[in-house]
Amino acid sequence: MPSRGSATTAVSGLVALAIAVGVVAMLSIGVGSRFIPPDSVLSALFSPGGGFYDNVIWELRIPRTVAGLVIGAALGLSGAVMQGLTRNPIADPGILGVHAGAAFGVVVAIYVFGLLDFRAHVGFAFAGAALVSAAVWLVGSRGRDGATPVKLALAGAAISAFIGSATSLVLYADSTAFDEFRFWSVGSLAGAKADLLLAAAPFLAGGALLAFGVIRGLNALSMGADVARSLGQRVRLVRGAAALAVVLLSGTAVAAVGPIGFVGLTVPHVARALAGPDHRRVLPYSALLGPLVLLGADIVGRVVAIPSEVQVGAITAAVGAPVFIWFVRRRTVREL
Amino acid sequence: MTASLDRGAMGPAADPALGRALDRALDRALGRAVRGPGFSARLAPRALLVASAALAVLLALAVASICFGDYPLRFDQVVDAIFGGSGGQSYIVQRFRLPRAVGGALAGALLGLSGAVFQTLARNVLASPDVLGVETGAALVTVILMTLGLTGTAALTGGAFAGAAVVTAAVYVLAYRRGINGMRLILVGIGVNACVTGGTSYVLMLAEVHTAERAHNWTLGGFNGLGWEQVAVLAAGLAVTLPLATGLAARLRTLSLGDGVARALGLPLERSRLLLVGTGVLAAAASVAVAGPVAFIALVAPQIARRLIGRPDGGLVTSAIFGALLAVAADFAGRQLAGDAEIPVGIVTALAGGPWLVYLLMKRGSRSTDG
Repeated sequence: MPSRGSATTAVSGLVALAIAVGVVAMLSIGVGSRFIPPDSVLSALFSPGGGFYDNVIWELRIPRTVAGLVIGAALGLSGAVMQGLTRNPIADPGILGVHAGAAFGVVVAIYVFGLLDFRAHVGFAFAGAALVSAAVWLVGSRGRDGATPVKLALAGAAISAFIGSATSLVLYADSTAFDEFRFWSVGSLAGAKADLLLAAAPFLAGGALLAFGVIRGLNALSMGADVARSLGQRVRLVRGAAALAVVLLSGTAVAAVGPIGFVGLTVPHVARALAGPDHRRVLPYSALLGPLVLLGADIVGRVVAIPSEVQVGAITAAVGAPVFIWFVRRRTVREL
Repeated sequence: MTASLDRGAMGPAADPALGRALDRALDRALGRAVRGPGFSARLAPRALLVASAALAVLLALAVASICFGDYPLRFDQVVDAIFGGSGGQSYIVQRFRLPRAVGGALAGALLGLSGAVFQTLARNVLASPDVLGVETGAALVTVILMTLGLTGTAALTGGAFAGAAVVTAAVYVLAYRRGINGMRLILVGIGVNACVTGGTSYVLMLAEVHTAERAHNWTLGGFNGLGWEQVAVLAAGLAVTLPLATGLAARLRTLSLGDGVARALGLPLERSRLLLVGTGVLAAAASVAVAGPVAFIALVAPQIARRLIGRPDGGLVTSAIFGALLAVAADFAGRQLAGDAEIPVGIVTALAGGPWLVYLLMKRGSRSTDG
């Protein structure tokens, strides 16, 4: 374990992570149902137009890889902010109802408004995610002890169940919506196209800016609301901005590629283990670890079932759920 | 029977006045004691009253749900059709509407019973078989079987039951750490459920669209296809689990006093808990395997029973009756609300039960949720 105090170790850790992300991104361009040798990848990247693989690389692999980088960073960041905001080690956008809300938004877009265009889904999914996570927060933070982990998790489960049944009702009534929805609901990077990424970019950039803007506030909040207040932080403002950042980042991510669970949950834990509890380090580490995990899972999904592929959402659920359970078991219940 | 709670088990009270006060408190809480040679039981007039009133409402609802439908029948026609009779009307009643009403009631009763066991055991009104993965496990296996083309009733029922049992066992084992803690059980359940649900959506995506749609509709729960074969399975489930649960009721009540008291009274904690969890899962799994997952009945029925009876444990039988009542009522509502179409019963219960759960959470917000 590197020394947590020194700024140079933190920076060199970040550089190492960035190199790892670059390697995984290269792999992600090269690996798939058709393997592309590294020299062809490089020539397609830096002198496009001549190579045999250029089309595959520029039309499919690069948008998918960029989606993995951007969405992974968004999921990692949103998880780190969510856990800092709630001071809750098991906070995850999915557990707190963002996925159920986004799913309902997508179903409403398909069924009520007949929209089959991805860019339209983004707005609806985003609105659904925002409304539902606000409701979960309101219900879970009632009472003197505020938003305790257990209360938030239970409120998330209750409201997700309710919204989920409303989603089911629509899917039951409409076969077209069901057919569209079942592919969205697994969570996959395969459908990512350049225009979709462009539509999502402003939301993600805004969320990332907000997230890095509240770092000081999150550090103060980690000592408790009272201490944060006495340190001169406007607690409500910090909490509101952090929550908005989470909804912008994870809501847009869900809208763009479907619900991908457990990345936002586990990545910040790894970041804290590597970099310590200071959010000035946790956030950048999470923003690099997120793409590493997501692209890694996506590559695994592409090769485990050749010639078909397993969607990245299924891979992260299969790997992430055991990690979640391990966290729950590791702590005594009161600490949770 | 409340042998473990009676004065003998609590030790002789040193102070006679204290003993009398304890007797009075127990009488108030559990009903007046009736003791004879070699037996002791408590009669609770209020519980009996509530239970019989609920039974009457259940019966009325069942009759109403047999009367109304695409082809409405009068009350006397229904009675005729049930007790003999021939022709189209009795065919409709005996072949479709009666098994649907009876099966729905039995499925609901099993869920209510299961919920009562879990809530009393975990000392947490939020504990229910859903949290332990009974529904998601059954759904995963059913969806896989349907995708593989195995759509026989026996295969689906058996598979759903096995899925429910395996996933629940996994949750129990994963949450076991020097004993079982109610809240850890719930949190592990949330994690395992997320994983299993992910698997279900993955399989649904692989399947051909019509298969996927049928499988998805199964996961919404419904009494639509219930026939006498399914009713027989449900009845067998209730015939096994209800006596088991009432036989374990004394242990359950002792456990609900807290681990410390239960241990002091000489109860083998982990073994009793395992027996009770097994019974609760058996009841819920039988219901889910036959009728599909019907959300929230297991959660809500015991709470209604508890409120109306006015004592901490709602009573297992009363909870089962209220479960049946809720199931029949939700099925009836689902058929009437949407005009020509029908809303699956599981969606009706989830739409009504979700807000109830939120209300509970908000009400107990100021108290600790540790179980």
